[in-house]
Amino acid sequence: MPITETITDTFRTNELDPMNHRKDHDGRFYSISQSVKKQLFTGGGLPKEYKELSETLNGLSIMVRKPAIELITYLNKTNFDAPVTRYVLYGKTGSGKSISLAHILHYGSNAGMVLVHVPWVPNWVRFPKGCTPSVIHPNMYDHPIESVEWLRHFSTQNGLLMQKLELKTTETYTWSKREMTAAGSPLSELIDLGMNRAKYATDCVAALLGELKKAAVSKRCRVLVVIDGFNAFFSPRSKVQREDKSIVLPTEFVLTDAFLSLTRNDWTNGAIVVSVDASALPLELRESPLPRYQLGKQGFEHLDPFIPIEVPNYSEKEFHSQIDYYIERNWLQQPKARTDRGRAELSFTSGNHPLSLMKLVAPY
Amino acid sequence: MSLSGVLRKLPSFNAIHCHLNFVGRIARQQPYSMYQPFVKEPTYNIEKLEQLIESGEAKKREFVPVKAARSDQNVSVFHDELTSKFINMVMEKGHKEIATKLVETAYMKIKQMQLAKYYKATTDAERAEIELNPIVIFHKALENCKPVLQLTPIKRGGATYQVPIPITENRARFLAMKWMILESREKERKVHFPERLAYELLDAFNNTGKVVKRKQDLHKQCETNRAYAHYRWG
Repeated sequence: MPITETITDTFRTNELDPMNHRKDHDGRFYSISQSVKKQLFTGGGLPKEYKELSETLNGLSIMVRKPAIELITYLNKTNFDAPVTRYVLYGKTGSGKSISLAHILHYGSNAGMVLVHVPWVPNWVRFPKGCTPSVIHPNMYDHPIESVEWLRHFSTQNGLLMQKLELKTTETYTWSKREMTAAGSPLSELIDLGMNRAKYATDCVAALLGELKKAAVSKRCRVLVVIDGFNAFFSPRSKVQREDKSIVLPTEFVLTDAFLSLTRNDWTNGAIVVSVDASALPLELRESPLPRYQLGKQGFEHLDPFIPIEVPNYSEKEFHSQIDYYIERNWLQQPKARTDRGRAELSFTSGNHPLSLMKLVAPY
Repeated sequence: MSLSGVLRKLPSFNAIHCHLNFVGRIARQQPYSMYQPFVKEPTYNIEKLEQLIESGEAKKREFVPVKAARSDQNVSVFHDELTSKFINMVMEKGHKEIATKLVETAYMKIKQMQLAKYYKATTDAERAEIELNPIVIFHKALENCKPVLQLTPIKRGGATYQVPIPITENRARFLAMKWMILESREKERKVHFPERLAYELLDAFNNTGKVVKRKQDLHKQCETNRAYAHYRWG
């Protein structure tokens, strides 16, 4: 549906700029244009089923919900001279954390912040595409392929902004006897080097994050860090093995070090929004969705103090709004399901849980 | 004697060895039901129940013994009897959950494919023609696949002839479903069952595809063998 159409349905809103989303937009859908979707989410960020559904329903529309509105209000009022605030989104698997993060990503993009976005950390921990021991850091491991992909994702998200900002490196990086990036060279050179040389990509990522931190402190840019599945950094095991078959912990990855350094509150002029999800950890550690349990001792001490924001199940208004959306987009086909009795049944069987509702409505 | 003792009966071995003296020899056996013949099927459709109460029928049925409801008979707004039957036929080794998931995935794929066409269409007239409800598509597809006659082997003078005979509603429905499932189980497993089923159902809905062809082949065979039709009566 083209965005210029006048929208009269109560479950939609015309306000397409996340910076203006307020409490009265709660439970309403706003559409994201194809170009924005391509820019922000090509490298990941939307859950797979959600993305497929948005393509089937002819357009990405995100529901404005309380957690995102809360975050937007805080971000609008933040004192960027103070050390960065950390926000942790928590909730049951499938309650809408990733979508809220996607909403915040759109906000950050519109607010002119440099986006540092990790779509789903467990991909690096559970399905690494070939970890190699690091040359520069002893006893640590590189992710050459994932780092290249991440740099590509970063440049897609921030391409235009980086051209405008023209940030420069503050120190010299020596990659080998003949290759080095001198101080004062543009950051785009650093990113290009990482994209072309997989061997140095991980260290490029670490260098880039360090540079962004310094640039933020010296007020040359504002940085928004968005990480989904942050608790995977502190997972007790990963799929990477040494030659003697012992498991490499995620804390021994160079990428982990880089992102943990970025999520420390020792810099200013930015914000850090992170989600913790039970599905990011192994099966034995999924008892509770709460941040302290999911982060573990190490993770909690790293992130403390943070502002926890719960992502709950749908409220009644949000639930009806979601059903209205499905009906309007011709996804919920059964005529009986569209009645009051049908809605009551869906509310009961899904427990107002977003993912369960999506799965129940899918076949009918 | 307990209630279940009154309603149920011991398995009768007569049921297994029952032949009817039919020349066509369609061995219509007694059902293997554990219930006595007077025990009725349950009405679990809420609208029907409300109608019965309104019309006064319910009062008459108050003391009629009723069979226990099956696990897939429910008052959900998504319940469809034909789909339940189909899921039972898809099911193997009692794995009902897997069978349900397969058929439901097929329904979802049907919706996806039809919606793709719908959002591509430019005029309202085009959009009105596209059917989006997977259950409506399923019903129509089955209708298009149901044969009207069937062949049965009859021996006459040493040779066995394939004789066309009428078909019951249940048998026609069974054949349609069976053929649909068999066509969706292909030898090369790259395209999985739900996707294949979705394609087959959409084809059958448009009166094309392998299953409809199979029905038409059967009808052609019946037509060529119409000369033997009188063998049915000897």
